[in-house]
Amino acid sequence: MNPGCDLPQCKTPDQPAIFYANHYVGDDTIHILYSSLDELTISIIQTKKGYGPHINYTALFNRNYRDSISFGDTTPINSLSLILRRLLRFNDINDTGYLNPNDTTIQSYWLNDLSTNITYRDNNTDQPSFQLLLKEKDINGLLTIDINYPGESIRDTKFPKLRSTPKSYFLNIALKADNYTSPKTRFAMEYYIIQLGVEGTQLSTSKYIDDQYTPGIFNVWRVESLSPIYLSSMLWKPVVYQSDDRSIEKNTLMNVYNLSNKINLQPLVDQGIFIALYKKPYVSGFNVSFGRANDGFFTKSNYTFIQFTAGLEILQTDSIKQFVTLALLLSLAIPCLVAVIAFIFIMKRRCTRQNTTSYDIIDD
Amino acid sequence: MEDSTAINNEHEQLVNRQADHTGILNPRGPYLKWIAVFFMCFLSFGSYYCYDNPAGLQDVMKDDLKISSTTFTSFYSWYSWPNVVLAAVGGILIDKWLGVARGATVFCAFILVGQVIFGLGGYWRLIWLMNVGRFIFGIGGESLSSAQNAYAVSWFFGKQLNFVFGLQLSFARVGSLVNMNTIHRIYDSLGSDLTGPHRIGTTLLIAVSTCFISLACALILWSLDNRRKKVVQEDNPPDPNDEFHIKDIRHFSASLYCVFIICVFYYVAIFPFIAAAQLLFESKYNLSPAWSNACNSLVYLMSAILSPFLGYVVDLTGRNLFWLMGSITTTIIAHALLAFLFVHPVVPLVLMGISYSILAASLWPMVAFLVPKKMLGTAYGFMQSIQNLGLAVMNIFTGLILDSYGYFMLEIFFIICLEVALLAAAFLYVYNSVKKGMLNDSPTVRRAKQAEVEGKTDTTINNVVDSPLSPDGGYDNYSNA
Repeated sequence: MNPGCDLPQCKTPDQPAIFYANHYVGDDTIHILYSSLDELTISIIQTKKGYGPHINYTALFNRNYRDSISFGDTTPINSLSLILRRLLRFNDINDTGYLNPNDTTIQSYWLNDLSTNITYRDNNTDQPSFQLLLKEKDINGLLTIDINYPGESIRDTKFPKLRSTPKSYFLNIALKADNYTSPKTRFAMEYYIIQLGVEGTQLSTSKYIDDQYTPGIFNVWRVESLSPIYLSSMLWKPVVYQSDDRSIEKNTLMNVYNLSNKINLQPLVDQGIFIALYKKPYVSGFNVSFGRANDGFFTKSNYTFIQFTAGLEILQTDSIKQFVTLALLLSLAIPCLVAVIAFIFIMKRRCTRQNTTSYDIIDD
Repeated sequence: MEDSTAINNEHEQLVNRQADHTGILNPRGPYLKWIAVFFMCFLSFGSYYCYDNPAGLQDVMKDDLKISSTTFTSFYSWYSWPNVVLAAVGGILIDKWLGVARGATVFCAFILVGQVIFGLGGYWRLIWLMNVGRFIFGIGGESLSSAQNAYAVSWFFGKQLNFVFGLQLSFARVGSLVNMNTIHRIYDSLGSDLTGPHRIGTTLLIAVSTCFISLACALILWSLDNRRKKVVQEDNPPDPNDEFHIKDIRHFSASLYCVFIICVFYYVAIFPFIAAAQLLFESKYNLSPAWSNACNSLVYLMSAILSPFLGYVVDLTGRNLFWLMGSITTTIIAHALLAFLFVHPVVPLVLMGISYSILAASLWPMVAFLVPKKMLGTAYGFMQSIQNLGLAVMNIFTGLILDSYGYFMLEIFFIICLEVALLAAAFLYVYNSVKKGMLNDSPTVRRAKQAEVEGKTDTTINNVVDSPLSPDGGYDNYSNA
């Protein structure tokens, strides 16, 4: 955390910070940078091996983001930045589960300058959680954001059991809140995506038959770049867990809203390390609301957990193709085999009977 | 003088008794038995309605009670556990100690008490109490079916018995059908001040009303049975040789054990599936809870409509093994459609309903071809016991698989079970052919073989009478088929 920083702000707890990790993948290095300086931004960057970030902490803490982060004399091969822009609270009067853009009662909590839960230590490799305390007159809550970059292909052991790759990370978002005024309260989040290339991104959902990693969930959502050169994507399952042990008995679904491309950033609001990484950022954005109709609203559990994966490739959906193919073959092949054996058996017995009856009776 | 007075009095009583029994309730008349059939058909209505209450409320039950699929499917296991034993001895309880009428009433009381305890357990979110309730409910449920069959035999032996059995089976499925299409609506219609376990418990307690219907039918049938018994001699007194005898099991043939295997592994892919399918239809096919339950009830609907007809067709054509293998294969295809495709669930469920009806019509009668009459009670009792044991165990597996691996794996599990059943059926076909059994014969050939067996048996009996040292023969040749 805050690698190479000598400033007092880097050693003081409960301050915005920047976290860095890297991993070698072939001839390249994958860098992951996430920071709560202004907007919470998670960036994953790919460069040639041998290059690392040079971070100008003075400029960063003075909010002069332009050119505050560089990778020496090389430019990144690919990158993806995800901005967690804000948490939205709305009153779902009609219990539809949907966020109404015309609703004037929507309350926004901007995810700026979130504090971390660990203090600076030399060679600190603990991955911090970023937290936003919601202590306003109409709500008491805590938003916790964990970024987990394993640097390899592993599957999370807890639901929804998404899978990471060497070029992708897990993003876990947990919201705990109470003391809100309306029993029909629901929450949503707004995300911005910035990636290299100007083709934009597209949002899609697909169904698949195998739900073994997320029982009862048969579809998956994906945001992927349309650029043929700069591949990147986010992938998640539309399940919202209502307990911190992520048990399948307590879950609901989320609603995903249309993605917009070529969004204009608001300079007063949209500040963060992404300004250092992109000269002319091409921004896409989408919203996700938590819960669906008739699920008892947020008040049922006062807790919400969702998980995403995001990275520098087109993340694939769960599909154990080999197993599915094998299961399909066996399930249909065995009845066919039984039918063939039965047919052969019948034919053989008929032939045997015919041979027996074809003997001439011997007259004495 | 006194004698003539006594005779006159007796004559008067007879005339008066006859006068009391006129009209449709005349036990000697043609109408009483059909009135009794009406009540016989609805005797198990409450049992079948309440049996599948969990399936009809799967989504809200798991949500409101905060239970896993394992706990949910264990409600069905707890129903089956007592019937591992009771299925075999229920007939003896009725024949020896309780009698049909008292037995039916007692078992109705069990299902009523069981459902009340189940509902109270849900209301207070005491899972252990719900399991106790299902256990007590299970004691009454299967035994009530035995009582229902005993009533049918008592009133209709030798006349329209198969038709009445078919009618009873159809009406039993009506109970399940009504449950699937009403129980969630009852839940939805409750006031918003009732939430969570209280809402579930109240819904289950409302379902108790159907058990009162069953109890009322039992009491009415008791009255009608008493009325009938006063004037009509019992046509079919219980035969001690028809009782369950555990020692008879050692005489069962390999063919019969194949039938048992098919019974267990086939029904395991039907009843636990129906119990867990509502959420599958909601999540995979995006159906509403009402439509999910309607689809879920299709198997029972097809069975209610088609069972009598398909039973007649199977009786007409024979070839039970071909029908059996065909129905198992069709069920495999139905589960494969649910597992591998996104075809609307109506298609596989209709297939499943048809196959389920064909299997019932072709499998259960096979037992009668494989064991002598004196062992039929034992064989059927054992078959039901094994079926209940299989369901009790497999329901637990269903829940575990669902919680850990999801619906796709669960469908694969069902397909594997069906393939075991299919392999057992294929083995039975080969074995039957080799041993020249009659399981796959046409009715004409079967009758000829049975006549031949009876002829041999008579000859053997005569020989045994003449020579006390003659070995056993006769039916044993066919019981090994």
